[in-house]
This record gives sequence, C-alpha cells and structure tokens, in this order.
Amino acid sequence: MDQVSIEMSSTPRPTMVKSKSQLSLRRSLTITFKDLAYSVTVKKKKMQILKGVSGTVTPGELVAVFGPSGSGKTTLLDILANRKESGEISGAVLINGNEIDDDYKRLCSYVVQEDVLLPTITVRETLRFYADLKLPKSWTEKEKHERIEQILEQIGLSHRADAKIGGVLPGGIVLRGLSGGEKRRVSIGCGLVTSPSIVLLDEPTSGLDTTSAMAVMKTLVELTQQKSVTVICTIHQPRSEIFKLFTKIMVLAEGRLVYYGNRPVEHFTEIGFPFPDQTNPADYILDAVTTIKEEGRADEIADRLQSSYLDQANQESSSTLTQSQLGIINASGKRKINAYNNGLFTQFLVLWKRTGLDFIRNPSNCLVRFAVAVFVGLLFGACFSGLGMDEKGVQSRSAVLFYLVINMILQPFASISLFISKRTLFNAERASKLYHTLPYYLALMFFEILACIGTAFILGTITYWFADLNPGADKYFFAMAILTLAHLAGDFFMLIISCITVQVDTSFAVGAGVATIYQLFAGFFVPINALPKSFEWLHWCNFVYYSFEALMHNEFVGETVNCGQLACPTGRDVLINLGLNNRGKGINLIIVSSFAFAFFTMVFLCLHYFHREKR
Amino acid sequence: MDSNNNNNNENEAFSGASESSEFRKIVEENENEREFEQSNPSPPEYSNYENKDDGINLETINPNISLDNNNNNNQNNQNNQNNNNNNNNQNNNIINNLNKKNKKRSTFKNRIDFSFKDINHYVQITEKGKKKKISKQILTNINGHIESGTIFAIMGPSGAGKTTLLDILAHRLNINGSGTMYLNGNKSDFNIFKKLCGYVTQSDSLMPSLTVRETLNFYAQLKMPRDVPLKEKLQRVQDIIDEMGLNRCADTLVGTADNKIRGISGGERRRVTISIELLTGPSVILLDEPTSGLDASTSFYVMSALKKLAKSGRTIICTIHQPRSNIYDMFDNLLLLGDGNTIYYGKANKALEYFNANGYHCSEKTNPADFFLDLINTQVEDQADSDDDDYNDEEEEIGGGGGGSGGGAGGIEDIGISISPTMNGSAVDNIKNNELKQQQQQQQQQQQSTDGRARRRIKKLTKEEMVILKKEYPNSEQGLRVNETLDNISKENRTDFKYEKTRGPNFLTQFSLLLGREVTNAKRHPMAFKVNLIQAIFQGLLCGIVYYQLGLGQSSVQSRTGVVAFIIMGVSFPAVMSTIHVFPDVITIFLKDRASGVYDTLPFFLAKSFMDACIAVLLPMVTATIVYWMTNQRVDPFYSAAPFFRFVLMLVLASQTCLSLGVLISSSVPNVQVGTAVAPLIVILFFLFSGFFINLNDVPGWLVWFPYISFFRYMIEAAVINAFKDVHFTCTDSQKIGGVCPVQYGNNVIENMGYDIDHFWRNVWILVLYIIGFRVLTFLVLKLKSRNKFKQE
Repeated sequence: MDQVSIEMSSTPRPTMVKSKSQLSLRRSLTITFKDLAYSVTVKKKKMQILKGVSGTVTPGELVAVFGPSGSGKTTLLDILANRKESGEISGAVLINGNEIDDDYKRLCSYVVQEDVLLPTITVRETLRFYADLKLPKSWTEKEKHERIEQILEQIGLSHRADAKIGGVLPGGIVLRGLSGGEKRRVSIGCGLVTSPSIVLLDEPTSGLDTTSAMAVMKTLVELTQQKSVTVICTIHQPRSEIFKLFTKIMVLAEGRLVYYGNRPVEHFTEIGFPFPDQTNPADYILDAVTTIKEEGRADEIADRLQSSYLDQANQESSSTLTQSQLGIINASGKRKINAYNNGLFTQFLVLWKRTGLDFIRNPSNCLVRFAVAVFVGLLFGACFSGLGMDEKGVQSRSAVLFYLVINMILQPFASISLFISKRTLFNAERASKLYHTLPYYLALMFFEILACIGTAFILGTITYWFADLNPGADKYFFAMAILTLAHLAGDFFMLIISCITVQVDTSFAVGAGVATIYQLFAGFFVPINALPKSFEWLHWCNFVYYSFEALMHNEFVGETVNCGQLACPTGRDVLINLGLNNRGKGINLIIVSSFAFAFFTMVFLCLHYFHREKR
Repeated sequence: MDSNNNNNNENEAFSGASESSEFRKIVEENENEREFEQSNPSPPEYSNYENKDDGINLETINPNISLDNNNNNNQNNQNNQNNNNNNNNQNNNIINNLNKKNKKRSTFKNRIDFSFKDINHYVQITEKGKKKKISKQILTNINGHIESGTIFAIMGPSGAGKTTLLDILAHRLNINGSGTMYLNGNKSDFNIFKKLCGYVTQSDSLMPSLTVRETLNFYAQLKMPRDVPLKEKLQRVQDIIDEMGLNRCADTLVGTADNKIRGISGGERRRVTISIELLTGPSVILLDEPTSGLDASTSFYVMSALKKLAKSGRTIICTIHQPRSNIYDMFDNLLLLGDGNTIYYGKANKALEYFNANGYHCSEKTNPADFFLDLINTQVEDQADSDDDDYNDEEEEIGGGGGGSGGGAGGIEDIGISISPTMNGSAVDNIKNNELKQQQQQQQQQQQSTDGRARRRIKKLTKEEMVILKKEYPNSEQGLRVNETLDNISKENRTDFKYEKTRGPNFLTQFSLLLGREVTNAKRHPMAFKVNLIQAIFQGLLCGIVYYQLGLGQSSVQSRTGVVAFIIMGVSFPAVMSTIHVFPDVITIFLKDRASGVYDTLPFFLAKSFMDACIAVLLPMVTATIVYWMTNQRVDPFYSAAPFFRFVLMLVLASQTCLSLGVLISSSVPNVQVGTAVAPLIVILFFLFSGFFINLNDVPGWLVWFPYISFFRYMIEAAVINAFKDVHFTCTDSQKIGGVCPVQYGNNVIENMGYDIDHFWRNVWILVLYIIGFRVLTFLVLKLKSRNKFKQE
C-alpha cells in the first residue's frame, strides 16, 4: 500500500526512478512451503528424506531448523533455496503466494557452512568482487562503494575491511588473517550484496567459539529487525543465549516436522518430555527429538501436526496472494533477468582482476616458479657452458636441448596443487550461479600463461647463452617459442590430469607415469629408427618429440661437425642418425602449438563438465 | 547367542576357570552391556539420577561424611520421600554391582587424592613494536584438592589458562614460577607421576588399519611392565573393552576420521584413546577437552564412561569448554578460571549458590556452564586472537628451553608479586590471623549484600567486576577451606599408596611389536602392494619392448647406455615420491606415542626401515629380471649368470638409496606439499651430474665436486661397467673409419664416459654407505623432533 501511494504521488523524475528500483530491491517477502517431500534412489532403493513439511516464514522472522544429524535440515534448506538438483521433489515453495521464478535467485541468498574465500584477498576486495558480479550493470561505482560500506557496517567489520582473509595457501604457507567468526561474517556479507529479502544459512555458528558465534547471530538479528529480511538457518547445538534470539523453531526428526512455532518447550512437555531445571532449551529439545527418533514416534507426532501446519500455510499463502497482485500490477512490463546478472565480458574483467591480485600476493604462484627457473637455468649454463661443434659437443648440445624440454614437462607439477585448491572455490561459486565457467577459465589461464612464458624465457635464455647454442637472433627466438609452447602444452596436460582425477596423490602418480612415457619416446633415449614398429604411434602423439625435433633442427641445420677430416658430417647428417629428420622446424612449431591449444580446450571442457557439486 | 559363545571361548582361552565362574562372568558382561545400552538413549531424567547417585555414592564409599552433606541428603529425603526410596534401592543395586566388579577385576591399584597448591606460571611475551621480552603471568595462585572417585572439571573461556594448568598438573609443562603438587600428600615428581597417572590428549592419533583390540593389545604389551604375563595383559585389554563399552566395535578397523578408511565412529575413537591410557592402571587420569569435536549424544556417552571410571575409584581431571547440562551434572568438582585466576572452586552443584550470593543469577532455562562462561568471558574477539597466538608462541619456547636444560625452572625475571607464607608457626599469631580473617569476612559479606541488589541484571562481568570476584574468592568459604585442607596435606607425610619401580619392555620386544604392526598394516593394504607390483612389471615390460634384444652393432652402444639411465631413473623416482606422501602420517603417530613414552625412537625406526627395505627389494628385482633378459643386456660367450645378479643388485641398491632419501626428505619437511616441491628438484639435480647427460670429463672446474656426491653417478657407473666391460662391438664396412670401427671395445665406452672400469664394487659399497647415511640422518631427525616435543624434567 505504501508503495502504491508513493508511486501515485510521484512524478517521473530520474531520482524517483532510482529510489523506485531500490525499493523494489528491498521488497519484504513471505516464504511458504506446502507438503514438501524429497526422496533419492540409492542402489535401486527409494529413500524418503523429507515428507510432509509445511510452514510459513514472514519478513523479520529469524527461524531455526533444529534436529539431530541426518534429520534432513540441510536438505530442507536446499529445497527452499531452489538449489536441489538431484532426487525427486514434491510439494510447493511459494514466495508471496507465487511460484518461484528466475527473479528468486536475486532475492534469495544462501550461505553455506564452509567459508570458501580466497585467502589473499582483503575483506573489501571480496565484497567488491561479489558486488561487481551480482549487482546490475546500471549501478555506478559510487553506489557500489556505498553498498559495500553499508554491508561492512552491518556485519561489524568496518575496522577490518583492509585485512586479508587469511588461511593456508597452496604450498603450505600460512597467511595470517581473520578469525573464524570474522570469516563467517564475510561469507554472510557476500550474501547481502544484492540486498536479498530472504537469507538462508546452513549452520552459521558451526566451528566457532562462544564470542564469534554470538557476534554472527547478532548480525543476523539486526538483519531481521532493522531490514525486515527473512532469515532461516539450520543449527545443531546452540547455547541458551543464541536460542533466545530465534523467533520460531522448526524441529525435524527423520525427515518429519515434529514442531514449528515459538513455544517448543511447552509443546514437548505436553507430549511427554518434562523439562529439567537449569537446562539449555536447545539441549532439551535435541534430547527429546533423539528419544522420539529412537522410539519411532516421529511419524505419529508429525502426522498429527501435519494437517494444521498445512492449513496455516494455505491460509498464509492466500492472504499474501492478495498483496502480490498489487505487486504484479507494479511490476508489469518488467523483463526477466538473465541467469547471470552481468555479461560474460564483465564477468571476465572482474575475475581477471581478482585472479591477478591472488597471483601477485601468493608467492607460490610466480616467485617460486621464477626462482626455480633461474636456479635451474644457471645450473644448466654452468654444466653445459661453451659447447663446441665437435663430436662431443654435438652430443652435449643434444643433451642440453632434451633436458630443457624435459624440464618444461616436470615444472608443471607445481601447478597441480594450485589448480586443485582453486577448484574448490570455483565449484562453490559456480553453484551460487556467480559466473560462467568460460570467463573464470580465461582469467585463470591468462595468468597461468604469463607464468609459463616467464618461466620458459628465464630458463631458456640463461641456458641458451651460457651453453653457447646457435647464436643467431632468429635461432634464439625460435628456441624460446618452442620452449614456451612446450611448457604450455606440459602445463595444460597436467591440468587435464588434475581435472580428471580427484585427489592430488592420484594426479601426481598419473602425471609421473605419463611424463616417463613422454621422455622415453621423445627420440633421445632411443633413436626413432630403433623403435619397434608397433610402438611408432607413441611418438607421433608425443609433443615432447616434436619439440625436441624442432630444437634440434634449429640448432644443427646449416652447421658442420668438426671432425678433423675433409669429409665431415653435416648437421643434417646428425639429425638423420638420430631419426629426427622427418619434418622441418616450422611444421614442428605448428604441431606443438596445436597440442597446446588442444590441451587448453580440453582443460576447459573438463572443468566445465566434470566434478560438478551434487546437491 | 553368538556373542555368548565367543565369550565362552574367550573365557576358556584366558582364564580356564570353572563353569560357575564362567557363568558369573557372562552374567556380569551382559549386565555391563545393558548398562551402556540404557545410557545410550540419554533420557533427560538420567541427570537427576546422576545427582542422587552422587550423594549415595559418597555415603557408601566415604563413611566419614561431613555434616553438610548429611543435611542436604536429609532435605532431599524430606522433599521426595517415595521417589527417594525407589531411587535409593536402584542406586544401591548399581553400587553393589560396581563394588563386586571392582573386587573381581580391578584395573588399577591405588586410590589417590591429587592436590596442587599455589600454582603460579609465567611466560615470556614480546610486546608489539618492542624487542624486550616481558614476563606475563598466566596462572595466579591456583589451588585445588581432588579426592579419588570424583570428576574434577576445569572450565573457562579461551585464553583462561585451562590447557596450561592441565599440562602443569600432568607434568608435561615445567612450572615457570612456583607451585607444588601432591599425590596423597606426598610431593609429586615426574617419575612417580608417570607410573600412576595417564594423560589423554585432545586429538586421536591411531593407526587406521588396526582393529580396536589389536590397537589395545599393541599398547598393552608396550606400556605394561615387563614381568606381567601375556595372558594377564590380554585379559586387561578385555576388561577395559568391557569397562569402556567397546565390545561392539572391538574387532572393527579403527579407520580414519575423514572416512578414507571406514572404521569406528568419532566417539568410539575417543574412547579407544582413553582406553589406551587405562592399560597401565592409572589412578589419576587427565583429559584435555574430552568431548571436543563430538556431537551431543556421543559426548554424553564418552562422559558417561568417564563417570563410570570415577565411580570405580579413579581420579578424573579434565578441561572442558562448553558442556551441556547433562554433562555438567556429571561433574563433582568445578574450577572456573578467568584470566588465569580462580573465579570459583568447589562443588559443581553449589556453584550457582556461590554466584547467587554474589549477586549473579542464572535463569531456569539456561545451562549453568553457559551462564558461567558468559560471566567470565570479557575478551574482545581481536584481543582473544592475539593473546592466543602469544601464548602459543611463548609456550613452545619454554617447552624447548625446558627440554634443553633438563633441570628445573631457570631464574624468574621481573616478578612483581612476592609470595610469602600465609601462616606463621606460633600459636599466638594464628589466633590473631584468624580474628582478622573473621572481621574481613563480616565486612565483605555486608558489601556483597549491598552490591548484590544493584547487580542482579548484569549478564556479563566488566573488568572491574572480574577483579572483585578474583579478590573475593580467596576469602570465601570455599577458598579458606581448600587452603586449610592444603596446609594440612602439606604438613602430613602420608604413604598410603604403593607403586613399584617396574621396567618396560626391552628393545627386542618393542622392535617385534612395532614390526608386527607394520606387517599388519601392509597386509591390510594389499592394493598398495599390487599397484606397485603392476607398476614394476609394466615398467620392466615397457623398457624391455623398446630396447628389445639389443645387438652388438654401433647403434646399440647408445641404446645400452639409454637402458641403464632409463631404468635407474624409472626405479628411483617412484621410490622417492611414494614415500613423500605416506611417511608424514606415520610420523604423526610416532610423535604422539613418543610424547607418551610408549616406545623408543630406535626400535620404531628399525622396524619401519626393515619393512621398507623388504618391499624395496622385491619390486626392483621384478623389474630387473624383466629388463635384463628382454633387452639382452649382456652378451657373453660363456653365458655367465654373474652379470645378471650384478644388474639386479644395482637396481636394488638404487631403489634403497632413493627410498632412504625419500624418508629423509619427508621427515625433514613440515608438510607433504613442501616435500612434493623439494623432492623432484633434488632428484633431477643429482641425476644431472650422473655422467649420463654431461660427460664427467667436461664438468667445469668449480663444480667438479658435485658428481662425487651424486649417488646416481655411482649407480649408473656400476651398471655401465657391468654392461660394457670386456664386450666387443661390431660394425659394417661402411661404418669403418680408417679401417677401424668407431667403437670397438666396451672398455673404451666406459672410459669415454669418464668412468673407471675397476670401480664396480667400490660403487656398490659407496651406495651402501649412502643408504646407511640417509637412514642415520633420518634417525637423528626423528630423535630431534621427538625430543622437542617430549617435555621431561
């Protein structure tokens, strides 16, 4: 009614349009669920996880979902958040009496139990990341900044806005940062960027100590009281002080709703569980529910209550339906929003910025790689310095070129743990429909490619000039190109393996095995001519072989071996003896590039289609 | 029915007793199981039974009961006469059963009262921005007297000093300050304490692939005295399994907490950890946060087990953070710590009265433990974090320093508080002091009654109020009483308990038990061995196929050296990398056992090395056999077998060397990730100077020393000598240069690579020295790590 009066009295001025959009962002929503049921099929056997759950949560309410482990709390929360993708769901979830539409994901925010945050980014940068991805394009920089400051104040972290999140970085370095409670509040803050009307939280105080848990709960209370946000959270063993903060309690036992209301102690006392003195009501309720579960009374109690809860839900939904009709009139002509709030390019820019920050701040990403490259390069240079072109020099040049290529494969082992640790963050954010896989992948690979190019150039340059390899400018840059492409191919190949396998241990084992095969059939340990016919295919699909052949061509073609006689073999004769004279260096360059690009594409496909989170 | 049969078999095997005694034991075990089954549902009324049970328990076990307790019991009787009668009957039955069981199968010898007096502890803290270290007091004048048969709980918020106090009481942390501990009135030192007390840490470090019974048998044979017969040890294990309610999972694998290896539950794992400490029959058991990480029902189950232990006469001391009501009701005595000071000490069920008297009230719908912690917890979140970090850093330094010095606490710097004796010897002074105390009591009581009205609505204590409470406690009734008790205890020199100087198992027993555990662990992971075997076979076949039946032509020269280099690298790299991922888990368990003094470093190290060596002999033999014959490694006119066995020997030595290197690296690095980064670099570095990629004659001058420390050099040199010595190569006419083959004699190939023909056996012995050297270094690293963590006076 207030909205209608405001609109009727207003004139179509730009400022009013802005306030109108802000008002629409902050609508108060009532969520109603009727007769929810959920089941999954495990080994051809149907398991009922939820049955006959009904209720209503109105704006400004802080509702707790109670129950022991395995009672279906998180499942219920996933259904209310519209995030359940597997299993069979029946029943209805209504928002202001209407079915859920695409707009729901903007109005509803879900905070998971684990805090999946990037350790090297500050609190403000984290919120900025979410604001850039979740807020509409029409928001200006100033508006976003104001929104972020509001959220920092809401969650009580204004004084820690520029502190890094902290945690254990891949590589074992511990970065000091926020406490557990502060991280949890950052996660809640990320969910508040879009000014949601409904906030769902899974175990918001799990793993926190007394002070942190109370701070988190106070944040939630302020949300409900000052912003009229609807908050629903699952919780397991709250303390008395936290228990008092809840407006209503929803108690689940074996997937059945055995109580919903604000007088749980009276209810359970009536059904035969006397309340002992000096006891936390939450502990009392959990003990009662555990006894109900063991006595098999959940169905009996829930069946008795189910019809009354369903009637209340029906009544609430019909009353809110009247109000929502006015909402429909107001929202006439409104276009449906895309699955993502921003385009792919905007997503890429935001992800590029964050990935760049993480790349710079994590020493494992670039400093260690470059340091290792310098060290190995100097070592190679010292060992192979001043090679001649006699028979011994020819062998040594072959060795140094082969060893350079091999290092381009072995170095990427460091990328495996980095990639796997980032995948956890990616999976969590993708499940929130924050961004598409492609912009994330492109932003990630941008810096990965930078690191590969830097490593290859550092190692190659040092070794090249120390070893006095072919000094032509075109020769040098061609060698650098081959090394870079070989490093990219090796890096992407390792990423494919880490995508396909689940754990780091398996990735290392498979990577080591494949690297061994690549080395064996690269044409150095065994000349290609000496390979059995049945194994020829193993070097055709070996990018190490093509890289090595290209480098050898680059080094020896046009040169003459100094053997002290008149008729000395030429560089091409050397290649013929080693079986490396099949194609020119240009073609080899194209082949290695093709390998790198193919692996690049395969990594994206693996990342996009494999290891999706199952809810 | 099956369980009864099993019980029959076990009884026959262990005791060989008569039928009547067997029947009694079966009945008792059934009763034991029923008790735990009853306690599992944890009904709310159970806590009431516990309260009343405590009173009756005191009447039965301690005949000399004080008048106050009698009065309380009388009041209870007046309030609920009928219920009390019924409850009395039930509780009497329970107590009678407990007494019977204790008489028959007692798992400990002495009943010990534990006392501690005037505990003060300081740590060195570096203030921010300054380099000087300041002495900060962590614990201030902590006193306590714990009677046997009770549970004593130490509660407080984070940073209050709970774990510090527990570590001091457990003699795991030297007091940097002052204080004395008594066992039945006798001064306690570490050697006596170790015999009579057990300590249960917060984390459970158990071998995942053993069953519960195997785990307990292992520790029983290592921890119990040498002269106890094996049958008695195994019977002790069964008694403890009965006592702790672990019969259902006795033959289940322990598993890992993250379910990689499926096993027992978290609560069962915690009870196994407690059971390990019960094997030596300790009279006092100290536990650090025994319910941490467990859910509500599991916590209740674990605490019920501890309650049962206390009823049997043991002394239980535990720190706990946020217990639920039904767990709080199990505590007999409570010590509330706030900022390292005593806020309350006394009966747990009288704590509310104490706070009521001081003006702080707890509503009916609040857990008393939560109420106390809310009162005491005055820390702001940020300060709490920094304080915790400072404490942890300083404690580690003190621990290391204490271990290094081996003596008592060093000089105390900057002690602002001077500790003076509270009582003088003369009687006249005693009378005067008593009068003064009475006057002070009266004055403070008046103040309390005045302040109480104004403070009834306060939920949290301010810092000023905390200071007042800290000052009030020493002059309260409980404080005075405990001081009086401690004074009496320190005067009397009673020798009520007996302990024997027993010897633990000898080196051979430790070694055989540890080796048995390694063998069991290997048997339970057959897939790991199969995977390694398949890998070895695959590697051999791959190498054999590629280098199949090498001839004696010119091109075979390069191929023969390629075989050697490839197969040695193929055997070595997996040996290093596989150890990097496995060994850190083993070290964690070792360090935990070492901190408890279960076994010595040397037998553990030798058992581990022996097991690794056995596996690392079989696999390279498989690979070597396949490669040698497939590649036609040695063409000899006499078809001698000696080169084959030399080849096998080289691969075995290569595998052993790299395995030892892997163990050394994984022992030295802090975690797996660092090891994963370091190990490949080391392997590649040493392989680079093996003489295969760079001719040893061409190494630059300032790096000429490096090939001498590269173990790969010795491996490849020996294998090349074995392959090329006294071999003649052929060539076609077109390949001849000046009528001579480019490579005619294998000996020339050896020399051209910078190797020496006569160095084969020298290289073998050098590699043996490398293996031994790496192992010795690993042993020293383990010794150093375990010494840092083992805080002993």
